Amino acid sequence: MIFLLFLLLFIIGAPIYSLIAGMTLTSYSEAEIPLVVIILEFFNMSNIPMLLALPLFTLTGYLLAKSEAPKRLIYFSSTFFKLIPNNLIFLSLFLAIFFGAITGSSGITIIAFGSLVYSLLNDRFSDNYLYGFITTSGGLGLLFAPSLPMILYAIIAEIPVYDFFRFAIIPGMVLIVIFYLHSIFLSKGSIQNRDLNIKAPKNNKNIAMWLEVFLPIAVVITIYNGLLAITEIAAFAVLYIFIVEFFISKDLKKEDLIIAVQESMTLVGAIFIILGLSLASTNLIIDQQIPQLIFEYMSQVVGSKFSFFVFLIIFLLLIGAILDIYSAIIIVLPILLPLASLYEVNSIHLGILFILLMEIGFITPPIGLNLFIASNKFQKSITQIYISTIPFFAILLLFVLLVAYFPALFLLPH
Amino acid sequence: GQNTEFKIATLAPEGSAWMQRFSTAADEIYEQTDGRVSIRYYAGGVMGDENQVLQKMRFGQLNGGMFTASGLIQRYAGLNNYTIPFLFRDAEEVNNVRERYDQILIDQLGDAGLKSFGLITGGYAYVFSKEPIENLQQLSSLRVWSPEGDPISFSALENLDLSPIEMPISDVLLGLQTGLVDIVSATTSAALILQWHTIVRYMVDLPILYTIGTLVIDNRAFNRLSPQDQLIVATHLNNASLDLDALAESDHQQALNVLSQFGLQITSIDQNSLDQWYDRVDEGIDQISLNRNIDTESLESIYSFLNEYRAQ
Amino acid sequence: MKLFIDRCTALGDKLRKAEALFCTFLIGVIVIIITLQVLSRNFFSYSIQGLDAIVRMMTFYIAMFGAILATHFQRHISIDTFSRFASAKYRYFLECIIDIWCLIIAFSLFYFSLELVQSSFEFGDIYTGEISLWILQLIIPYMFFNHFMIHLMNLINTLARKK
Ligand code: NA
Ligand code: NA
Repeated sequence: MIFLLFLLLFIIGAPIYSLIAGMTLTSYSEAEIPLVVIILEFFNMSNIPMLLALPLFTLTGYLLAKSEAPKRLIYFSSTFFKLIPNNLIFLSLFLAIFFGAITGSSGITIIAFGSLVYSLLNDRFSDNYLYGFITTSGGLGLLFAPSLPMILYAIIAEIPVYDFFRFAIIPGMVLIVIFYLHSIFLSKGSIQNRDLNIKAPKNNKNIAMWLEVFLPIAVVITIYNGLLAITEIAAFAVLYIFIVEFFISKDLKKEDLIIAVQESMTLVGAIFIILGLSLASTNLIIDQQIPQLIFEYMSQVVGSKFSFFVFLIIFLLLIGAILDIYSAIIIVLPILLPLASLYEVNSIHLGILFILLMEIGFITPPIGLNLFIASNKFQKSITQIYISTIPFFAILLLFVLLVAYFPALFLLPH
Repeated sequence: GQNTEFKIATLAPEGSAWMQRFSTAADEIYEQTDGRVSIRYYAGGVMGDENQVLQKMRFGQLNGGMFTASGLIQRYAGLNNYTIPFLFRDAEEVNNVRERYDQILIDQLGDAGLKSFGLITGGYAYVFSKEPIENLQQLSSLRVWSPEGDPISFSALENLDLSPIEMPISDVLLGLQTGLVDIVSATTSAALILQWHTIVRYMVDLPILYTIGTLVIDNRAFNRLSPQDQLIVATHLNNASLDLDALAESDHQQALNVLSQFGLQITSIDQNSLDQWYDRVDEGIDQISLNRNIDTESLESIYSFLNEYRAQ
Repeated sequence: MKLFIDRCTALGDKLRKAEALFCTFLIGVIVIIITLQVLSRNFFSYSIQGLDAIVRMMTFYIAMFGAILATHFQRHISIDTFSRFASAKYRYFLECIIDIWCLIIAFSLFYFSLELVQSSFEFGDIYTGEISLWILQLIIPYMFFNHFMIHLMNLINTLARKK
């Protein structure tokens, strides 16, 4: 009954946060947990170490997109990488994967680079393709070092983390190639790089271009030297881009700053309120041991390695739809590992499937977080975003099936 | 009467020695109370860090938890005195102090509203490093990890003129890899679980601090039981705690063997450095006891007890 | 009544401007703090204790002001397929329902966040060694109260539009 009410409110367009809040309030009272715990969990958001990276990368992305940086990047990429077909897709994939890997969050990547990637590519691809591409591609980074979900997985599964990184390189690269080829098929017009009307940037703008190109390189240097932690990189990225766009290229003016802050923080706020309330609902899911219940129910039907993978995929897609990747690893992995070892599934193989399936969970309707983020970012209806991600959902799922049933193709021999 | 279920959370992973032993205790309790009392564990930190568990206990979502000393500071700081770096110099001192003070600390925990079922050590924490360490001077140029939200460790490290870098435990592996920190410390079993051995190559053969933990149940929940049931629960949980407390030394040896197989080398620090170090600890102890997170009274008591013992 | 609503709306607008400005200020402070932390760590091998926690709390504040802005500009994440096809009359009706629903939610969350603040006050909880936790937590009821007020004003304005 109450579920129907929520469904109705969802359909007529009540904010998602209000629905999560409503569901949390009712289910806490049913489980006889004091309702104040909802706010306690909400406040616990302030303990998440990666919290800071989200607003700072968001602001960096807004400043970059508001300036003429996209034009300069297009110029740069088509001048210096002339020979690579679809080099802009290449650049976009690089940005997405790179930031996905260092932030451990594909959501941050959508926010930070969504607009930039969109403006890089929008005259070569349909909007639908781009929304799907942007919503999905950040997740590819989670398979590359120093992805935090992979580290967490390795610690809990007790496998050497560097082996895990090493083994994930091939499936990660294959997936990138698939995305790249897919883009070549779908790009409008010729594969050859277009002649651009964009003139070479002059003077200060030329310096700005080189500084913008240098940012990812600077990030790599500082992070692998131990000079900066990831949240510190986020702060420096803001400072760096602020200086480049306000003082060197002078694309942006003082008034633009407050507008950029206001717009980007509106987006950050819309996401954080959902995040905080999801923490509260996650707490209930843990308290009631719901993953264990699903697991017990489903593990009864598993009888072979073959059916184990079917089970695994369905189970993790369900989990991915209700939990974020970190909670999922902490809660689900310990109950999954014994069953996996029963069917002699190696933990690295399982880990790669786990990360991939969680990534698919981010784009699974009705409550995949990346769908919400993209919908808000592009101010498009969530249904349009759902539809745009279907081909990518299919690609990822097919890939998961391949990795599950033909691991020899993707995993190095031990 | 009514059946009671205790919901108890812990950072200890599912399948660890702690979880196995306490699960057995739970089964025994369930049986002997004819199902009147059952315990549901939430292992592996799924209920959040120790502060979050304490908060959830306050509101009654959880009834208890297995805590480390520093995790209990919010409710009771006395237990944390055992874990002050270099407080103890050998196992003999530990045994003497614990014989005298364990019950006092348990009673004080009770006054703070938490029923403890005995203290359990996790063994000693050691220093791990990428470069071999043989004396004190070497340390001054290195960055030492300090657990986030543990002000005692931080000020103790500062007292030794070291350079603590605060960082959550989840970031340490990456921090070691990138060089954000050079030196970390933990028990050998923890170092193994957290995979630090993949990066650090050396361990200093010097126990720097003694770790302690306990399983507690909120008095409000525990006192709801009938006196007979309270006795059954206490007996089985106390026995489990005793068993686990005795396990630390063999755990350490086992972990050390595995670490050595991975190529970990053990260095020792020269006696001269060590003496200097202990002097500095003695000088700094007043400073530390001023910290608001330290139960000054019981620290001073333990410290003077130790001094008397050393004078003998 | 009309005067009261106008005043409330004007006050809301002013608060939103102040909050955006404050967010900008906080981001600036965060960047400065982090720069100092990085410099002191890399050049003096010294990290200032508790700084991360303070920066995280500032981030939480930014997020809370952002959430108010999202309510103010109606930028919360929702599906809009249905209302897009609804006729003006129905849309008006739906807007009222959503505002009433959000009012109820905002008020409940406001109430329970006060409960949390009260408990932190009674237990004397401390944040990173210095600051009283309950003062920091006041941002949560502030945010939900603003949600409540914004939806209330929206509702009154929608109803007034009908007349
Ligand atoms: Na999800
Ligand atoms: Na801290």
